[in-house]
Amino acid sequence: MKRAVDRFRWLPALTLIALLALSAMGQSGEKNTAATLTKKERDFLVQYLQDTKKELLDEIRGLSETQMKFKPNPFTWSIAGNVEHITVVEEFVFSRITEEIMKSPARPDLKGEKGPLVGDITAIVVATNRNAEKFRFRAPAAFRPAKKLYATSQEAIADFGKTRAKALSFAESTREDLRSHFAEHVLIGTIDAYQWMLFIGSHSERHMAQIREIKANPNFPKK
Amino acid sequence: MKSNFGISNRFAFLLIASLLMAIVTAPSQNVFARNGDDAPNGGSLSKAEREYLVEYMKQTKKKFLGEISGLSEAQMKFKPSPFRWSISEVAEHLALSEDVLYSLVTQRVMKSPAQPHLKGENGPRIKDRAIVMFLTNRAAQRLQAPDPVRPSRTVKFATLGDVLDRFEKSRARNIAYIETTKDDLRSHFSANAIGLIDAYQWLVVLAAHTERHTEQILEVKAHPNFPVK
Repeated sequence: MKRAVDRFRWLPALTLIALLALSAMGQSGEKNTAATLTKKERDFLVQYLQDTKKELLDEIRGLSETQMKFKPNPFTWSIAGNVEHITVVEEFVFSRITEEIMKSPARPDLKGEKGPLVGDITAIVVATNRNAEKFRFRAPAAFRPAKKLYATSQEAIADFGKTRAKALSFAESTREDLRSHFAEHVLIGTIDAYQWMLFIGSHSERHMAQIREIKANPNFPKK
Repeated sequence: MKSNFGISNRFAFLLIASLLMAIVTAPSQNVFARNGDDAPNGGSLSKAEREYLVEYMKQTKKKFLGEISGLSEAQMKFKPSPFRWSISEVAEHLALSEDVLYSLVTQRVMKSPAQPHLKGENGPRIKDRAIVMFLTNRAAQRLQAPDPVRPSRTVKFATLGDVLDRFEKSRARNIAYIETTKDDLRSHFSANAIGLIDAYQWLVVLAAHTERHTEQILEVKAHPNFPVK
């Protein structure tokens, strides 16, 4: 049983390995001429969005309102603040992908003949780096928790579920050519719409680390 | 979940093949190659680019050397597990990487055809800082070094002193190169799994790689069985 748990802890890291393998395969022959995702690309994206969703919901399940609202210090967000932020960002990124990026002119010239200009793995590994203080960016004001958006944490969690469900259903069913539309990401560089979809997952993964830090704080309320 | 684990495991080999072998074999990549000429009007680094990278190279060198100074033989040789490197092995790996990446940059990347339309940090590709964030994210990846930079595979060092001597000399040469080169490091590219990386960014990789392994050294030192002296 313990072993199973240990395995699960490695899952995010291991999915990266699969992703990397996938990008390597993409370079060797499996290049899609059809203008939609390959099965592997789609499966990976859907799995990653599901895993990161489950990870977040598991981590906050059963927390009391007091625990959700606890702030380790005045400058850090609470867990509720993190959930709110994740939801607001996902809502924004998803509509940016569908309304803006996918409607921008296709740029087949940016696909690269021998592989992507930015690897898929990069959209995940870059966004989940929380090791160094210097990479703790301040979220733009529009994305900071507003305190008034949700009266209770339950509402915030429900809204996160709805927002993520939209992204998941798009990932499962879209026939659009996500690989031909690009936009600059301020941290990563110029990435395609598929990689922007991966970022939805990696952004929540990034905040998972912050949520775990809050729960590990010695002053975190017992209940 | 379980099947995902299995798939990932099978692909572990490909991880090595695609990211790290790329570092060593580095197929020069001609995405959009036009011709073999350098950008017209000289493409030397900006002052800010040069200063940032020199500073990063110096800072990561200092941190690495600082972490190993004063360690005993037993501490240097301590392995957290049979599959993990000792600090001594990490040091060897870093010394070897200085030369391997330098020759990669000067012999391969800079000799690939220029792609000036991708040039600059705002070119349609990966950002410098993203490379640092990628490599210093130890939590997200487990990688395995390819033979040429694996301890004791190609070069055998007699003593730790030799290892550090090699590291310091090679790092000094690399810093001098960054300080003085007139090469157009921003117009020549070679891909790895992170993305299509220009020659300047390959040198960022080198410094970030040192930082990554200094983190590893800290992990070894924090191990409960790490020798007291």
